[in-house]
Amino acid sequence: MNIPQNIIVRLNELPIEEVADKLGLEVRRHKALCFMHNDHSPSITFSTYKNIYRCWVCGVGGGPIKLVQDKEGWNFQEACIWLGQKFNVWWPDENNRHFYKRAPTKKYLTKHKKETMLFDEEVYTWLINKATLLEPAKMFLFRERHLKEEVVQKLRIGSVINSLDMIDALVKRFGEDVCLKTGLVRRGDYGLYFYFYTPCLLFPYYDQDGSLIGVQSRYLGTNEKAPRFQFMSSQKTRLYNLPILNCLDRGDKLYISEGITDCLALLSDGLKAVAIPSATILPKEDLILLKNYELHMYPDRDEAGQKAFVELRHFFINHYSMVRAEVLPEGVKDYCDYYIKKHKTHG
Amino acid sequence: MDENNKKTDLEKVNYSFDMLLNDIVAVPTEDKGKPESDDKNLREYQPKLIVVQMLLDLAKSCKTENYKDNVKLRNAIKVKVDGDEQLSGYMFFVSQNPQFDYSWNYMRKCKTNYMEFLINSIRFFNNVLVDINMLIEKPRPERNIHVVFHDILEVELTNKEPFVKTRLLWDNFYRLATVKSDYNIIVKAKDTLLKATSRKEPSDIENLMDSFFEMETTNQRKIQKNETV
Repeated sequence: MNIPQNIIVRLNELPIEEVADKLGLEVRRHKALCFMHNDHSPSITFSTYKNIYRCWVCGVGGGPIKLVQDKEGWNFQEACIWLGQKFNVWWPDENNRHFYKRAPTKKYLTKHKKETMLFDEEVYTWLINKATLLEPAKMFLFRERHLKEEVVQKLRIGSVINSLDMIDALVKRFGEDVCLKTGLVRRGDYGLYFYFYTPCLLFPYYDQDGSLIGVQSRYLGTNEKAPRFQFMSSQKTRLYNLPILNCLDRGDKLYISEGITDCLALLSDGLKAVAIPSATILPKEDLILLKNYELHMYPDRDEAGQKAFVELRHFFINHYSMVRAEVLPEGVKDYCDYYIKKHKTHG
Repeated sequence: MDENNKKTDLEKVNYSFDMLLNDIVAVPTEDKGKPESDDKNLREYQPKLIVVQMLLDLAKSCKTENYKDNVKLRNAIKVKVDGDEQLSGYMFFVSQNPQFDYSWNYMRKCKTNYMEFLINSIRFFNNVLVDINMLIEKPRPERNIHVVFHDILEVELTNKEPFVKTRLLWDNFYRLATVKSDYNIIVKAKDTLLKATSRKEPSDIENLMDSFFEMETTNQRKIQKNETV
């Protein structure tokens, strides 16, 4: 069946964000979590001007028809049929009857989704040990952010500046197959590449019993298209700094921060803190572990921060606990900003 | 601040369900030191708060015109409650108890009454929110006054944004079970009742406040007259 050119043009003119919404993607401020990779901070951006989407991590992108193809794993025709049905765009078939066809059966596992990465604790532990703090990372953590060295050391934060050196070392130590299986090293058109954009900081996530459960990176370079944070984990989402619960007694004061940087600032201020990965991700199975502490939070002064606080409070009320909001001083956007300003003021 | 400026500032504020819950959860900490916060009150605070949060969430989700349309609201609640499989499971589990005489029927009747309770609560909280937003727009009286809704929610009129502070009267918490879309409103200063009305429509609280301000103005004139004499 041929789809008329004018219909293809019409389908590609359908508002990209509405198409994404119909596909079940949660679009916020022209961004959404990528469906092609294990995404934790929205990597897809929508351009309503160009009516296209793009994931800055996987590099996939295109117009509305391409979005349906990528999301559902359908061919071009199937995607057009689905769009036509969803947005009431009809066209006559060869026999001049009004076209109608059932939407193609959804393929639950697309080509990309089949690539489930194995979080190999041994490989990642080796990576964390190898990724010592180098100069750009020290500059960022200690001179720009004024974080305390003992906090950074205790949390075993490291850095990777040269990705090629790291790939060589990883392949030499574990072999190419293992590295590819972990997802830490990937194969692209020009050979092997490192999953995390470099130069970057690496933040290891540990379970309460000290097992490594995930690694998050924080990009330190100048490429504006690179995602600021990337995440590799054995489970979907976890709380950062869970081992701190081992030093707390029931009823002790504990802060929940939105993101690692705020958490580091709180810890550097001598407070006990854990972090949710982002305002939109609440690792509920870990959060339940916090219900017996006196919980506080400095919500970021933006809509997402306020929403995260409301959701956290909702969660804890339903679990017979409470999280209380602390108010940041005027003119600061989050606790990290407050911490930096405080340290600049005190010289 | 002159009257006009105050009015302009006040108009910017829109009291929401989130703000109402913020106010409600803020109070128990203030009450902690008081002798009436006995063990029972403290023990029951969290489960009561879960109920309040659930009702406010529900009221918020029906905030649009839905809550005024009886059929739509009833259908929306029926879909929610009947669609809740865990609630059905819980009903079965509770009914399998000698104290309930293993009576499944009793629990089914309770479910119908429960839906009625939810519908009434949604209407109550939505109407109260409309009333509170109306109170925000009113000028502030000289003395500190409180407006109490059906002995459940007490709203203090303040001069600081958001210009009202609400607290839930936890001792009267169980009145929530019998609340209806029509309810009593009283205006009081400390423990003195100044005005009261039965609220059936939004204009009732407006009339109540107007008559209260009229009374206040008359009283002040009388005082000034006496002072002059």
